[in-house]
Amino acid sequence: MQLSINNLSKTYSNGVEALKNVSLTIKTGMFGLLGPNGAGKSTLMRILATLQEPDTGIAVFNDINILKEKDKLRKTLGYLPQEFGVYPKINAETLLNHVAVLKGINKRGERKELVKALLNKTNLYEQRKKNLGGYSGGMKQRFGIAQALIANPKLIIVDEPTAGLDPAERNRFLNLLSELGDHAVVILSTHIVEDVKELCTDMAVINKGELLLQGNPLDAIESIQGRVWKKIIDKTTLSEYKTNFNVVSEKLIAGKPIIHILSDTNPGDGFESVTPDLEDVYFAQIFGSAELAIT
Amino acid sequence: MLETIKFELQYRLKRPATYIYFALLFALAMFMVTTDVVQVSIGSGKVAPNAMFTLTFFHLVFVALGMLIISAVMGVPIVRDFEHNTSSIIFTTSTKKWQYLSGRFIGSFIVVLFIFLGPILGMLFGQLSPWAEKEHFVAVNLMNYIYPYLQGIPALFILGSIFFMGGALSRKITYVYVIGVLMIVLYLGVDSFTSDIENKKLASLFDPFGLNAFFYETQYWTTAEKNSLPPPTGGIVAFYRMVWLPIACLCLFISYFFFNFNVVRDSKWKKKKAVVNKVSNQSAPMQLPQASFSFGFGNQLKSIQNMTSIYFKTS
Repeated sequence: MQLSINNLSKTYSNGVEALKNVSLTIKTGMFGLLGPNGAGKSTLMRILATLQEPDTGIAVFNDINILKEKDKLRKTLGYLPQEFGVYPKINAETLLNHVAVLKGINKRGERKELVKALLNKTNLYEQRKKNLGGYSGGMKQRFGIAQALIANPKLIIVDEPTAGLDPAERNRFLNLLSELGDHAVVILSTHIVEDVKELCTDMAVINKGELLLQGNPLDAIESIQGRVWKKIIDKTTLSEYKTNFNVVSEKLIAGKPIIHILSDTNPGDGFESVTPDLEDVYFAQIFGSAELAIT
Repeated sequence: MLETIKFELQYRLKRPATYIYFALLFALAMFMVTTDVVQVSIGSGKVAPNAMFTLTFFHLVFVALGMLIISAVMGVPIVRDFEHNTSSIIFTTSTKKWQYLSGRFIGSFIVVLFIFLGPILGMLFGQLSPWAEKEHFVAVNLMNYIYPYLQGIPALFILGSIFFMGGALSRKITYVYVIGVLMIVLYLGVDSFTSDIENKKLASLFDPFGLNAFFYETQYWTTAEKNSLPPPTGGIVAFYRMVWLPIACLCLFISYFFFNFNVVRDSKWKKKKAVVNKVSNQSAPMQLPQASFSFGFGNQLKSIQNMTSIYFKTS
């Protein structure tokens, strides 16, 4: 199974270039699409989910032309939108059953079994009779994944599913997702580096509509091995460091800024070498000036 | 499509609004026929309150007055998916555009048909009740109630289709109500031109409720005719239907043609310049400027003014 995206571009009427000539090839498994808020991730996700038209470019899933054969794609699509709602006065079982019919599952018995299984899988069975309006953020998100999985989809798109979940809910949710990659192309869009690190075998970074990097997360980390240095500094000297070094990230640890910089050689000056992680790769792409080459 | 109809009905049957609308019309109608509070003179003399003519007249008035209810029911089925943000989920299922639209329309229309049983049943129960003034009654006949109800259906369909289109295409309930207001304006505007006969004939065609057509066809009826004849279906009434039913169908066709499953609509009119935010990872410590506070009457006035302008901008 393969999803090929070729030269997708989309510019909104207010002049925002959401996507600039994005090309990607995505194979079976979990694919992480990483980018800051406003990078163009959701636009790309909506285009792939048949809900929006790009200005130019093509997207093909197996032999389905996504932009032309929308009905055909929808039969094999599972989509969890970034910001989705539910009918507040309806319970989970009813809405899931409704979506199941709309997705083409006509036999009542089969539908009932499937809805039950999905509610169990997403740990919502106990609350199946509760109105969706009363669901917490995490429960709603799990309901979202339940509806996305109904039609045994081969292309699963989840758009920022973990934003706003508490750590326990997030773990539960990631566990749910992790099973899906075996038999489908799963695209996980997120701005949370950890999500990608924990789940994805392949990833891409986009920012301001441009594809900055695509590859295996481990390879990406490998590519900056030995080039990331850290130092705990004083708040007042921060801007000084920013002008002198290629600072990719700054964090506070116990109130003190700790900066990571990218440098091919030892910068001295009290910097220590660190083992890079995916976050360094990500920030190096978004904020660093160094170009990373991943083969 | 059947599933969508079923869902729409299930959804509505759980909503109190459905029953409140029904009960409201039922109660109003019953109140009207059992008390003297509402005095509507239709023609001179002794037209029976339970004649088909009278009941049709009142039912059509209820339909026209109930236009707000029609707009509330027929305007929302598509808007709902945008308001609750369920559009993305529904539109990525295998449901087709025609199934989705027709299902939601038919489901909602069935609900409207149910709600507008209210006035008929209200009048029926009112007139059967022991405390109704039974003076001038003609023999009670169930047909006298069924027939007026049927006469109201074309107007319900016409109004319903127009509101449905408004909701489906604008995706905002505000526009549905704007259409409602425009219809009233159209009706009242036309009404003020109906001084002479020729204008009256023409006016009947500009009235989406069909009230003028009914008046025109029955204006010279005698009391005996009003007490015995079924309401007119020919003449201007037929003409009204020939004009407005195609308009209603056109509205539905336009809804189908222009509606699409794109969830993001790029406005062709508003070409605002995007504000480019520079994203940076700088978190420079910044001193917030000092502001002075006052919580007096002046501030309250200022707050009212601000709320007004915010509300104006956001609605």
